[in-house]
Amino acid sequence: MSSLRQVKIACILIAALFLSLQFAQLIEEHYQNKGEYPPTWVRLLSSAGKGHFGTGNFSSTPNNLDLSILEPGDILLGGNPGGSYGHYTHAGIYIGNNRVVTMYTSTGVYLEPPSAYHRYHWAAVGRVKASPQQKKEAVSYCRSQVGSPFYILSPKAEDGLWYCSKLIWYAYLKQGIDLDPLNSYWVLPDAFVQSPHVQILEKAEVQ
Amino acid sequence: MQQRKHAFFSMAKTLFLLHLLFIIITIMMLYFGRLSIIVPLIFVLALFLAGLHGCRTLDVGPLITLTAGYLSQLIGILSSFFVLTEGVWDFSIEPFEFIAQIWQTPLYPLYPILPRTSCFDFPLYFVVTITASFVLPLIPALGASLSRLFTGIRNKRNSV
Repeated sequence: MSSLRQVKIACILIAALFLSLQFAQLIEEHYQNKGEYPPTWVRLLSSAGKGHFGTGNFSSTPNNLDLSILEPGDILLGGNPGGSYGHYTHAGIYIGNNRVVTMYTSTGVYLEPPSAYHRYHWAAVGRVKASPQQKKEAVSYCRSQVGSPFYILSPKAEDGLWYCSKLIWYAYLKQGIDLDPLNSYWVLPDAFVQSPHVQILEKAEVQ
Repeated sequence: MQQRKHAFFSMAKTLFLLHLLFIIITIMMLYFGRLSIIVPLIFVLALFLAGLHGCRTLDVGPLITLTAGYLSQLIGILSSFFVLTEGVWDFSIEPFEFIAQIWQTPLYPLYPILPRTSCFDFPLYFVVTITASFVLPLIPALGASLSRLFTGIRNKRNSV
């Protein structure tokens, strides 16, 4: 009797999860039809419902993002079909000398060349509207975090565990610039595109 | 036999639920910054006490507690297995990296104070993440061992 009840509860929970994933897709569509960016939880649940997890499927041919325009403090964005965090699924900050501060689950915060963003199906360069000194300080802060751990669930208030876009957001927040107009639990890479403090200079997509 | 089976699954369920509870507590405690460092310590203590208590009330020995611990850590063990055997699979193991990470949430407040070194091409924190599921079951097993040891000493004293 008890095990039958447990099976019933499990079935109800699975059905509720399935329905909420479907419901999230409907809400996302509703926001997209209005031309608005959906709330983060809707975006993530909707992606999960479509079977999209992580950064999506990388391109076998490179995009032609112009990296010659990069200046220290610029934000690099990359996205793939099947990514779960929005149009852009990854972000890094250019620190000069052909290096970008970035991170993945199994690497923690580390340095990579900007050409890594050619692997994405679509990529962009964003320039933060900040003074040279603010950019210098933001770059310096991001560089100081190389080697720190990656943790996707870390709240914004925590300053020792990072995910790609949170580190960039935090580094600029310390300079008095809030790059997250979406103001949700996570700072998604798409927030930088929506931010009035960021100018998208260059976009590229694999044809 | 039936009673031992029940005790085994009861212990595994307790350890599994304890782990889930500490995932939630840790996420909430991360809002308090460095204060969250007490959570992993309480987590280890709770695992130890679960083993100790299980041995007394359910009469679950150290070996069965250890096995129950590994059963309760199955999510972490499987995700770590896929991460460690990355080259073998045709599919992306990225979701398993995330699962391993979320599963080991109770340990994350400790990671910012770990040395920023790497081990086998992985940063130290990630090595801890993928090995923790193999180590954590030892803690309740230690609790059960000590419980048995103290019970043995007490019985000896009483008989004397």
